[in-house]
Amino acid sequence: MAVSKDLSRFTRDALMAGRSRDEISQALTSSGWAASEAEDALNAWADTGFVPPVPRPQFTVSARDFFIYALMFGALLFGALHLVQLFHALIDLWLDQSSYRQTGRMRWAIAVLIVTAPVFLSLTLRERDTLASDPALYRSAVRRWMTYLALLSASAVLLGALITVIYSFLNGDFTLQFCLKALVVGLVAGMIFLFYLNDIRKGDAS
Amino acid sequence: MNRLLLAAFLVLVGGGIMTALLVVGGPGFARMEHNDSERARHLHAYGRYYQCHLPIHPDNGEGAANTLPDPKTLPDPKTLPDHCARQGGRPDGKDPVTGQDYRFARLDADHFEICATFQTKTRSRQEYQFEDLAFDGAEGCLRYVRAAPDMAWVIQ
Repeated sequence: MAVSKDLSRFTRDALMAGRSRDEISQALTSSGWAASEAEDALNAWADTGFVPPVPRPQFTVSARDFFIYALMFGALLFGALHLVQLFHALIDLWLDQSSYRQTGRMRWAIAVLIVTAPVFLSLTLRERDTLASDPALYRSAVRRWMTYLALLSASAVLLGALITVIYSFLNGDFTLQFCLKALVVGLVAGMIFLFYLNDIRKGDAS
Repeated sequence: MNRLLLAAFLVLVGGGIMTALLVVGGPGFARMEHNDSERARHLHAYGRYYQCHLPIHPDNGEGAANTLPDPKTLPDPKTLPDHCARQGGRPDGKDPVTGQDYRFARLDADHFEICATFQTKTRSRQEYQFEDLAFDGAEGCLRYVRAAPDMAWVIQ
C-alpha cells in the first residue's frame, strides 16, 4: 500500500527523534490512522537503530521496464494464442478428415510464431542476464504487475479449460479430438503458469 | 526449472511450425493453391453466364458444340430467368498461369461443362470453391444439366 507523504515524513521525524516503533504506531492509530497504515509507514524504514533512519528498498517504475515487459508479455500472449490455434488446426486435420483445410489460418499462425517466439525468447534471456547482474531490477513494479498478469491469464485459461473438459464430459462430447485440443491448451497455459511462478519465487527470494 | 520450460517451449514451437509447414506446404504450393482457387472461381462465373445465355436449342453439329455462342443467337433478355437479370457481360477470366481460355463443351441440348487443369494434386477438394467440381486427375469440370419439369440448369 502507498504511504502518504505526510505520514512518511512524520514517521521519519519520529524515528529521528528517538521514538520507539510502538510509540509511533500508538500515536498514529490514536490519531485515526489504521493499524495497517501505521505498519506500512514504519515498514518503509529499516529497523536498524541507525540515525537518520534508513529507507527500505521501494518498487520502481520506469518507461524502459514498461517497454521491455509489455513487449515481452505481448509477444508471449500473441504467440501462445497462435501456438494453440496451430495445434488445434493440426489436430482437426489429423482426426477430422471431413474438415476444411485451414491453410490460411495455419500459415498466419506460423508467421506469428516465427516473429513472436524469437522476440519473447531474446527478451527473456536478456532480462535474465540483466537481473543476474543487478538484482535491484527485481523491484520493478512493472515487471511484477506484468508477471502477475501473466499468472492470472494462465490460471484463468487453465480453469476455463478444466470447466470445458468437465462440461464436455457430462455432455457426452468428450472425443479424442476434443481431449487433445484441451490438452494443448492445458500444456501451453501450464507451462506459462509454471514459468512465471518460478520467476516470482526467484524474485521474492532475491 | 525455467531453463527446462524454455527448452520445452522451443521444442513445442519449432515442432509445431515444422509439422504445419509439412502439412500446408511452402510458398510455391501456396501459389498453386491460389491459382486453383482462382480457376474454380472463374469456372463458376462462366457456369453462371452460360446457364443464362446458352441457346435453348443449340446447333449440335460439327464445330458448333464446343464454341462460344454467337451473340446473335443469344435469347431475348426478356426470356431469361430472373436470376440472370443482374448478370453482366461475359466473364473474361483465363487460366492464371497459361493465360489460355478454359475448355467449354456443350455435350448436347441439356448438358454443358466448363473445365480447367488444376495444379495441386493433394489439395482436399472439400473447400466450397471446389465442392461442385468433378475431378478426373488434374482436370476439374463444372458440369451442368437441364431437366424437366422446369428445365432449369443445375450443377450435376
